[in-house]
Order: sequence, then C-alpha cells, then structure tokens
Amino acid sequence: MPIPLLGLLLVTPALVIVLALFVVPLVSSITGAFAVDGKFGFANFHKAFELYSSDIVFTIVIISLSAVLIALLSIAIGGYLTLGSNPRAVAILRWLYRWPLFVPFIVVGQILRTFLAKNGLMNSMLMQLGILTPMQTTSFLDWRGIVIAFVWKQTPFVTLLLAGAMASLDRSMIESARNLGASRLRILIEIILPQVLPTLLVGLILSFVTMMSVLSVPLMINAQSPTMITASMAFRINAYGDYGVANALGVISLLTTSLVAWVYLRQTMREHR
Amino acid sequence: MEGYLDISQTRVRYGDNEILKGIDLSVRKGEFVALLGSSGCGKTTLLRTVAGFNTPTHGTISIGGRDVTRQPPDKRGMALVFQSYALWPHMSVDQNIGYGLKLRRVEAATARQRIDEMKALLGLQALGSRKPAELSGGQRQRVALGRALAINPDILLLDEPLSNLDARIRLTVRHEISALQRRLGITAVHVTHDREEAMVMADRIVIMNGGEIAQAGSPQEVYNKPNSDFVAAFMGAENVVEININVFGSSIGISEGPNNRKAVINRGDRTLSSGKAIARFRSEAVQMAAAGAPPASIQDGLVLTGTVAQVSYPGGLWRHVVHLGEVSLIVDSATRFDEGSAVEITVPETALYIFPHP
Repeated sequence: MPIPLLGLLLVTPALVIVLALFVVPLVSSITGAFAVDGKFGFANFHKAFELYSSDIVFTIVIISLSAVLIALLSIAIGGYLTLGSNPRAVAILRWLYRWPLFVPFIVVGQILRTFLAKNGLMNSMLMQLGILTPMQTTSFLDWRGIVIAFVWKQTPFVTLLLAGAMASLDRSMIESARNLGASRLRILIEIILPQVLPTLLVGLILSFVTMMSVLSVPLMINAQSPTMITASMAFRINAYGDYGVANALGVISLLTTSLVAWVYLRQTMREHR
Repeated sequence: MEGYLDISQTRVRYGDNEILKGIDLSVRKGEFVALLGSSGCGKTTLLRTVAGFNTPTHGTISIGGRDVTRQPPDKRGMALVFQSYALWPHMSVDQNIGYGLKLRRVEAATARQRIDEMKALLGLQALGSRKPAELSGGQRQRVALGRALAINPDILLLDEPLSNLDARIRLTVRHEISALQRRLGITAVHVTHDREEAMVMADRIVIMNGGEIAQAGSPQEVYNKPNSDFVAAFMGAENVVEININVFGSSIGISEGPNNRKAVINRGDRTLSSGKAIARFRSEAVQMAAAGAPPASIQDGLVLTGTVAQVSYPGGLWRHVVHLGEVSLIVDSATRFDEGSAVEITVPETALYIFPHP
C-alpha cells in the first residue's frame, strides 16, 4: 500500500471521532439557530435579542469585570511568590492559592450561596464582630456573588500559569533592577510584568471561555433577572423546549468566545514566529 | 591598612554550608581588585555580599567608613554587572542604560545627555533603539556596563562579565574594561576564574580557596611568590615532584633522589624545615638538555632526569611530556627532543617553589 494512503488510514479513526462528536453537533446547533419552521431565517436571533439582550450585556460585563479582577489578583499573588522576602509567607501562599483549582464550580456556587446570603456566614460573622447590625445586612447573591465565585475559582488557574512564567525569568534581571534601586512594586510592574504579559493574556482568555460556559454558578447564586446567558439557554430548553432561541444564544456565546480565541491565536502565532 | 571598601571578618552561610569563612579585605579608592578562584571557592558569594544580595552572619562591610552590612543593595552606591548581563529584553538599549536614572528621577534632558555620554563612551551610538535580542554578545556586555556606570556608582562590581564572550572578543574587552576603569578612576571588584584575565586587568589579585583568601597581592607577587602549594598550582606551576630537603642557614640542600641530582639553593625568604617537601615549577621556566651533557654545577638549581614520552607543538615552544618514574611533567623547550630520549631538566632556583609536604 502506498505510504500516503497508509497514513490517511491511520488518522481516519481520530478524524471520524472529531467529525462525529465535535463538528457535526456544532454545525447542527449552528444551523438550528437559523432554522425557523424548517426554513432559513433570523427569527430566533430577533427573539433572542428581544428577550435576552440585557442578559447578553450582563454576561459580557460580569465576565470582563471578573477577568480584570482575576488579572489584578494573579499579578499580586504571582508577584509576591516571585519577590516576597519572607520565605515562610511565600511557602504558605504557594501552598494555599491552588486549592480552589480542585473545587468544582457547582461546589463553589454552593459554598458561596451559604456564605454570602443575607443570613449567611459572612454577615453573621460581621454582626458578631459588631461591624454590622442585622438591619444593615444585605445579600450578596446577585451579580456580585457571581463575580466573587468566578474570581475565587479562576484566580488560582491564572496565577498558576503566571507564577510559572515569572519563576522562569532570569533572577539576575530582578537583582539588577534591585541593584539600581527599584522597589519591589516597580520591579513587578516595569521589569517582570512586561515579560510575562503574553502568559497573562493566555490565562485570561482561557478563563474567559471557561466562565462563558458556567451554568451552575448563575443558577445557584443569581436566581433573578438579568442573569447569564447560560442560564437563559437552559431555561429556554427546559421550560419551553425552544431549541431555536437556545441555539441562537449559543451562536452569540460562540461568537464572543471566538473573538477572544482570535486574540489568543494571534498571540501564539506571534510567539512562534 | 585603611581602605575605601573594607570587608572585615565576613562570614556567610547558605543553610548548613559556610561559604565564606572569615574574609578580610580592604580595597583602596580607584583600585581594581580581581577575586580569582575556581568554581565554588566563594568569590561570587563575596561579591554578592558586598553588593548586598547576601547578608553575612558575622563581620562588617563598610564603604568610606560607613557601615553598610545591613543596607539594601541600592543604598550602597555600587553597581553590579552580571555574568548573564541581565538586560531587560523588553527595553531598548537607551531604556536599559537609562533605567537607573529614571529610578533616581533624573530630569529627562539630563538623563538623555547621560545616556548619550554612556553610549559614546562604550561605542554604542548607533544602537540606542535596539532591543537586547538584536545585539551581539560583546554589545550586550557593553550595554550592561553602561547601565551600571550611568548612575555614577562609587564602586563597580563585575561578576565574570567576560565568561559569555568568544575567546577573541574577550581579549579586547579585557583591555577596554580596564582602560575604562582607569579613565573613570572608579573602584572596581572583578570576579573571575581566568588567571590571565585577572593578571591583565587587576592592580591586585585576591586568590580564594574554600571560602578563605589564599593570597592577595599584585599580579607579579602572586605569580612569582606564591605563598602556598594551592596558589602555586593555581598560578600555573602545575609540575610537581617530591624532594627531600635540608635547611641550613641561608641555604637549602636538596638530597639526591631517584630522579633528581643533589642541589644547593639559596633559601631566600622561604620558611621551611628539613624533611620531605614538594617542589613546583612552570613548564616554560626550565632548561632542557639531552642526558649525558656535562653536569651542571649543583648551584644552578634542581636537575631532574627523565624520558620524553610525548612531543607536541602548541606554537612558539615544543611541549614535552616527560616521565620521571611514576611522575609525569610537562616541559616546554625551544628545541625538540624525540620521544624516548633521555633528558635533563634544570629548574632555576627563582622558578622553583618549595612547600612542606602535606
């Protein structure tokens, strides 16, 4: 058998699996978004925007805000791990920060639901300490709860990537800046951060896509409107059996993540050039 | 001696290992001192301690009478040039050189002028907007030097700055750096494992071994008057023979051995006692002749007899491997002796380093 044919035969099983389990469902879901009573049309999108435009904006704002907070926290944690002068504090932080990585999103939702509620653990602790009176307590189970859940869960992931990139920098680059009189903060911002920016960007983009796909957190924490489009999609299917609008919301979600994926690809292309 | 940079009784440990075991060193203002030693001898640790990146467990470091032992690196008025250059890849040459000025909030116009001065001094005029990745090794090294010198430091610390350069460039950069140091009159401490580099560049060489100073002195001193077997070996006197000596008055008698003739030499300032000793000498510091030539006077130095085992020509002189029983020596000579020929090697007393047998 000629070699090229043999090669093709060898990749066939993998190719079939990718086609059957990935490409076909994706394409049918996308075409489903444009199918109105068996014909091509934009009615599903009209309806999606009519009913859920505030959810779409809510989702993008919440996730962008979370991404910004994750970036700031992971820079701070990574920076301390790299530049911290107290070896014990660094060791404790290094041990602690990864724990949320191993907690599933649904459990994060559950934990924060009991923690952030009006009569939850956070408020009762604040009342015990005399910081709040029962009248002043408010529930954080709204957009703030979602942001807290996302940041809590995704910061370790981005920090893991970022701290690794920071640790692989030549130590003498940091020492030469110290030698010239740069403070730790300046070293972090002016010397370290510019060199690990591509890694930070990649971590944030992967987190963005992850957060776009989380259903459990908005369902557990934010049982009101507006909510995230994952919840709207689930509602459309479970309550109405309306796959058309759900598919249309799916396409909108896909377009958003494609946009950040394009940034990611451009970044990796530039790195490998 | 009261110096400008004073290191006294300094001890440094990493965990359970004591790296520096009590260093005393004084550097005069404007002096160029080389810390010379093989890897692991503590020379880099000493430099980093002076720079403020290591804290001594014991002892003090002071500059111009000011104790800086506990001061952070940037409060010491020193600039360190790293072995890897440690240039920041995201900054241009100008930004690298100007970073120390930016940290000191130097006015933009003044900083611009200083950066241009540095570039002119180091021949980097055309490269201001390049990034480090676009520079050659020698150019990077000069940028690192410019970055260190831009802040006008009192003391320049150099951590093996030439070890990443090609052998040929290294030779010219040696002279560039020492000429620059003399021109600026800056005090410099240079760490190296290259003996010749230290000899060519430094006013004074400090040879380190096992966390201690083995010998400190001018290049001529440490080369011609090594005070220990270690220093003699490190400074290139690699040929070793065992001898028996008899010290009487101002003379030293060397008894006849299986491979050497009886000899008497001046004691000079050697402090030795009679008994077993080791003699060291350099390959090029001896005379070689065919065996059976008229015997030399016993006062000419140590005469060794052996057989040529190997001859090669590294350039200039012929290099012979000579066997003396179990011992093998490397001896250079202007004339070639064939393999297998019996030879006599005369080591003049000025080239002969004798130390007690360990």
